[in-house]
Amino acid sequence: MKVMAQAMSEIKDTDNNKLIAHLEKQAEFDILKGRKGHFRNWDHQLMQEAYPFTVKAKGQAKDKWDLLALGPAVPGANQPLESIAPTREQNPCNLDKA
Amino acid sequence: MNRTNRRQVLKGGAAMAGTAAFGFPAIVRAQSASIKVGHLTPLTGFLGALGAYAQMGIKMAVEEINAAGGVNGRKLDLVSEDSVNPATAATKAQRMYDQDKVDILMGEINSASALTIMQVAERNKRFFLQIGARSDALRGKNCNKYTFHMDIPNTVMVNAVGQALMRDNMVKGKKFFTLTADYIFGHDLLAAAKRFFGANDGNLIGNELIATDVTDFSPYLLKVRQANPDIVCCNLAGNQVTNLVKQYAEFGFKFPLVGFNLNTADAWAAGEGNLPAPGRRSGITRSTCRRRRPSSTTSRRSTASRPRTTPGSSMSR
Repeated sequence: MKVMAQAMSEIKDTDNNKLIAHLEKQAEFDILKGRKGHFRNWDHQLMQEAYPFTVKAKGQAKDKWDLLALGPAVPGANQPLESIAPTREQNPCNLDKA
Repeated sequence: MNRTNRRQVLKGGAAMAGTAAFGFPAIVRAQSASIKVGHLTPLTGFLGALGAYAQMGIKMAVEEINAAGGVNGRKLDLVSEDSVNPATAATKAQRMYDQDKVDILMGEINSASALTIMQVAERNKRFFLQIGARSDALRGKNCNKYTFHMDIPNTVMVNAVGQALMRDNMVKGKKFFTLTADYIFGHDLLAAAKRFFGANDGNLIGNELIATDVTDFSPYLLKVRQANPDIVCCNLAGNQVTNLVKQYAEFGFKFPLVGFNLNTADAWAAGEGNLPAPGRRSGITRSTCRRRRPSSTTSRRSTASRPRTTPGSSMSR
């Protein structure tokens, strides 16, 4: 929702075609993670960090939401976000098909 | 929910008619001032527990955005409904575009429902933000110009878990048995897992396709026992994951259970004590796997049989 709010405020419109064009320019969004994310223009997939996690030992959770201990982000800070995503060769997406 | 919305639509209609008859332009402006956001997610069925968190999340976001003044000075007006199943999801998506006149449409967790909504978006040449479905096919061979995808796709999940398994020498020459959700999400996760095993000398000795409404996993777990694998992989979804994890412990298997799909909301749904906690002898950490020590059937909750290791899982959404 917040990504859409940011996009609609950047284009000052809700026109769906303008929205698509804006996202296809790979505009960057705050996605509540360490690094910003963007939608890859040729398959519309959000490029983003992932956080593998372990489960906290019983009794360590502060409340019912606090079950997980996040590990360091994947990919690492010095690697491109695309490094964990399927490549063009691996992903048979064609957005321009009729 | 439905009824309320219909009533609101009727009221809206009456207000518009009143405007036309008596000419209150202010009301017309008020009607068009908000940005209408359509949201569809499963609130019933095997993904219903996850959908409830999704709805909670979007409501919180809308409240925060509106409290801060909305978007371009316009308030957000959220219509969030149960998408139920792929056929109903498509019908509701069409209704949200046509009758609710949503400015933007978003949602989903179920890959099969996401696919039917994507088709509606394409036919109507309208935008759809696909938030929580992970099937590779949605952003692969079924991708379209009108749909954008937020969540991490299956192949990326498998590769991430796979790296952790490789690090712990749990792939090469090992026998795997997979339990797979019988719909597009599971099929496509199994395909990704097979590619991974094939590329890294893992040996897949058995797979069971499991219907999404199954709650008793004992027939499948008996087959697992017979097959005697080194590692069991869970390619299930939603409530299936929660139920399997609970029942797996009761079988007292020596082989670890690894999940290619487990995420923050699954963990919340299972609750503390139903997820294995990390132990000193943990073989795998920070992977998307979970692993349980053999435990007796009678004392699952006792300290002696509490699972020692966990390799947690996957990605936070």
